[in-house]
Amino acid sequence: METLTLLAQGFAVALTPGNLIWSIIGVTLGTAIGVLPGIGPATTVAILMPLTVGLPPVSAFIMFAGIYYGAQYGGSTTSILLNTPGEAGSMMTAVDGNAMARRGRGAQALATAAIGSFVAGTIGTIGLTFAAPLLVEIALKLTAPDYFALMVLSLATVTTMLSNPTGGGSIAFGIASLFFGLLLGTVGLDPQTGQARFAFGVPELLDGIDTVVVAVGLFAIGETLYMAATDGGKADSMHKLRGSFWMSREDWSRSWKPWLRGALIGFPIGAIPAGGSEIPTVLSYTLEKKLSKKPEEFGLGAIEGVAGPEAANNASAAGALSPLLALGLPTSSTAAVMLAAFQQYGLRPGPLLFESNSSLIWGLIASLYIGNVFLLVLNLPMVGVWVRLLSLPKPWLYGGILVLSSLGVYSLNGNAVDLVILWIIGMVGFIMRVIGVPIVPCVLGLILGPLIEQQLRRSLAISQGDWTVFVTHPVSAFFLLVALAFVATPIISSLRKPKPQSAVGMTR
Amino acid sequence: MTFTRRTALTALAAAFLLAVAPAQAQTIRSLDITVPGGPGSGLDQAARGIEEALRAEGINAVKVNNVPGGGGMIAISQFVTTKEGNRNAVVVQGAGTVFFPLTNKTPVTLADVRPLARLAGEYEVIAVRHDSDVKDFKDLMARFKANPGSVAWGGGSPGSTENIFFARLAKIAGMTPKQVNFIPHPNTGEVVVSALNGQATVVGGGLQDFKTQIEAKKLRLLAVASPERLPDVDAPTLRELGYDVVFANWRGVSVHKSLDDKSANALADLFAKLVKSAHWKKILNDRGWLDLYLPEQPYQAFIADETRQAREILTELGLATQ
Amino acid sequence: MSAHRLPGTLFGSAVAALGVAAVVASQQIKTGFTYDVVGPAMFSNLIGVGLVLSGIASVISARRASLEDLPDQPKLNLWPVGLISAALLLEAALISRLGWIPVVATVFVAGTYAFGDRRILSNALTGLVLATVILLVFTLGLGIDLPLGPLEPLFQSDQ
Repeated sequence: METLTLLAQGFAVALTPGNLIWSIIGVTLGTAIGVLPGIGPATTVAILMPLTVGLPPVSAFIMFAGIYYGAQYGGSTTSILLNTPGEAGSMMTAVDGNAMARRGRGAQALATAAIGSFVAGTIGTIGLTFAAPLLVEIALKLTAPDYFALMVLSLATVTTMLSNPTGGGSIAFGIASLFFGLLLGTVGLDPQTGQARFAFGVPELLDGIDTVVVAVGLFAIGETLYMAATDGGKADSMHKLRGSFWMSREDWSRSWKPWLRGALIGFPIGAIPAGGSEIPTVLSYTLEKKLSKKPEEFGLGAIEGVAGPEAANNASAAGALSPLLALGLPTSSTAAVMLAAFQQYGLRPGPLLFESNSSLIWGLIASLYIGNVFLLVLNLPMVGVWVRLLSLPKPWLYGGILVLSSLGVYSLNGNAVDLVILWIIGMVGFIMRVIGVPIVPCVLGLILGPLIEQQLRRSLAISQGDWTVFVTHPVSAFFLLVALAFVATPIISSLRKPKPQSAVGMTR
Repeated sequence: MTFTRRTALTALAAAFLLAVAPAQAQTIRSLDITVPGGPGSGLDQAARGIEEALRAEGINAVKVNNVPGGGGMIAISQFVTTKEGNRNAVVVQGAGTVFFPLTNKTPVTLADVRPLARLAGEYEVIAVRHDSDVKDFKDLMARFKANPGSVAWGGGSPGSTENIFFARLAKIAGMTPKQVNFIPHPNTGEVVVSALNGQATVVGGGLQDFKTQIEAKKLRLLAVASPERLPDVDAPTLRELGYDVVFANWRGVSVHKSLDDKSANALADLFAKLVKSAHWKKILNDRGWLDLYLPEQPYQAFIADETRQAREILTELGLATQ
Repeated sequence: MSAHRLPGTLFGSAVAALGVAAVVASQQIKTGFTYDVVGPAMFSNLIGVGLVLSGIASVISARRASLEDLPDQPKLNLWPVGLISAALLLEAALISRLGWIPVVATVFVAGTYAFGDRRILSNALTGLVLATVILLVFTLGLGIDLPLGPLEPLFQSDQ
């Protein structure tokens, strides 16, 4: 009850006209930078920080929080419409979101993303309000072996994505794609020893290959090259807009459960240090595919494949704020910038701040609820405008995608080497498309590989080489068992009713 | 860089003012700061702090340019190639940018820029979980000597300040740097997490990184690596404990090597004035940084000394390149 | 061997070759750190082996697959791919020297041409406008610098 009183006081702070305006500015700015690939909320908040010196802290934080939530949301737009994920968290959205857009259902994809973001963002914020300290307390109990097991579980779920739904390609192709991604993930400095691997003396490679470069290269550039090679000569507009922009009754009934499940996956994983937004989106996607009555639609435009990951992505953003507010721990780059922003005002987030400056903290939390409402109000009407992008003539659309991809990749670090890597990855993506090799396992290998390796080696360093830590930790043992079940089930079921095809046969 | 008419006039006016009222002299009207690190990183915060303090002094044209990657060396090489002759350009650097070229072959090093001033920093501190059975620093070192592998030392990335700091402690204790079971982390948040959940027996970092948890009685300080005790901090210095180690994570600025002395001095004066300004002092206070100002000559000597010591240790760790 | 099976076979062989290369390159990685049981080279070696095995599996599955299971190979027109590639590489090579605006406009023109739009001049104009608008938004609105190339000195004078 006390929390509710404090929250009410927070709303009183956040609902003043001045702070409402800062919230609107924040979410608008956040959406805009989210739509642009490459630059993220961390950069934007860092740039704005010195300019907000004159503002009262609560207004500045309300704006920063709006930017954070807005950017998390905005990433879905380019993923769905242009197949150009601007950050790792919206990659899974691109898979089915763009497939929906191709089938003339871009508006519905954008709508389920917007409403799902709102629902999940609100659930995440409720979690932040009532459960943050408790959740962070639990999250802190997880140690390296548990992380390792969680990553292995995520990797195991990748098996559900090993075949290419658009036809062709074998499981072997999917595994090759995964290993290629894992290989890309090892490029750069080894985080345990600082030794360079596969960097060939190029300093730009020392920090590894950025996930955004690979995602944009495989999705956007690979796709553009493929389209240019297959029907470059036909200069017509690309996706017909069909029927109503509104979600049908079926869309709603297929969306609401994935929204809730996505939120329930995203929030806690976002709250664990280094949990991030990639793993919850991947887990949500595979969970939806497992639970769906029509798993064959996944990859071809299943609305659940947009609703779930997009919800997980936004809930993880709320989760990632929990360790910062509850304990003052910055566990993501955006949280690190927010922490710096707190310090600019001589404040240190953590349990003490809840007591010493409760109107600031509760005002900030209240503004998250309000920001979410603004995001929905702002973006739902925009859906109709955005989808018109798709009625641009095809040459302009793809020319524009090339420009946007260059922008996203170049603005990451401002170096031209990333553009060369973009082209190489784009060519790989093109060849994979031609042969029918699925690209998602490659990106997942890139994301998960370094995490798995780091947690494995950290576990073993702490245990001084004792491998049993992975089964003696209950959480780790549990995750590993689930992972084993994930991999074993399809094998066992295929043994029970042998198909006419050979084991390494084709899947459609 | 063009020497525009406006610059000339500004310089003339400034020279005039210099003669009339030295206190108001101001030849630097803008500053272009290159940061070897992304937004939110330690060096970025230092740059944003400089920006804020200069704005308070009426210098509004301050631009911070983040260039992450390559252990900071991409920023240095970009600075070296694009800022030649730019009299308003500085690059921020810290301990990490000195150590990195020692562990990896890089086309540029800090030797390619001219260190101008050390500005601020934090002394390293050592902490454990509040209910840890490690009683004090002596107890920690006793455990380390008895069974080196059983003590997991948590800190930043490999080759970072903490890695070298712990190695130096080990050497003074009569052990070898290789016996330190160093557990690296990508950011300070995760270092704190490792201390709180007991993965790391002991962690090192800046006081500011741990302060919230110390006040909340979740972490406990064992020792600080400052020359004297820190104000309001209830922990002995390593010197008191018989370990002669003073170790700071510092931040400073450099200018382009080709810059003429006159322009370099103008920038040096700017920073000499900056560190005395009330707003800078407020920033230091708010962020828990210490004033570690050193002017050009002693700063360069300091960097040379740091580099020599770090090279020695990194070589023993097997991390240094030849 | 049927032409349908060729791409899969080539792909598998390339993957296997990459795996061998990865294992060979892994031998350069320094190992022997006291508490790092697994070491920095083990994962890269494992991945190399994985690439070799999955490459071989790809070759086998491509050769075994029945023909009707293989997707129809679309007719590939390679000149647009070459054109876009050239534009992207040109962009990487010249972006620091010529600046954002001209190279990005070139990429736009190459992209539209590759998709069959022959109005080079009007597309060049569109590309220039697009690039300039992006540059202005980034520089003025966000404070992120995109390279200006030869125009740089015009904007670098003192206040």
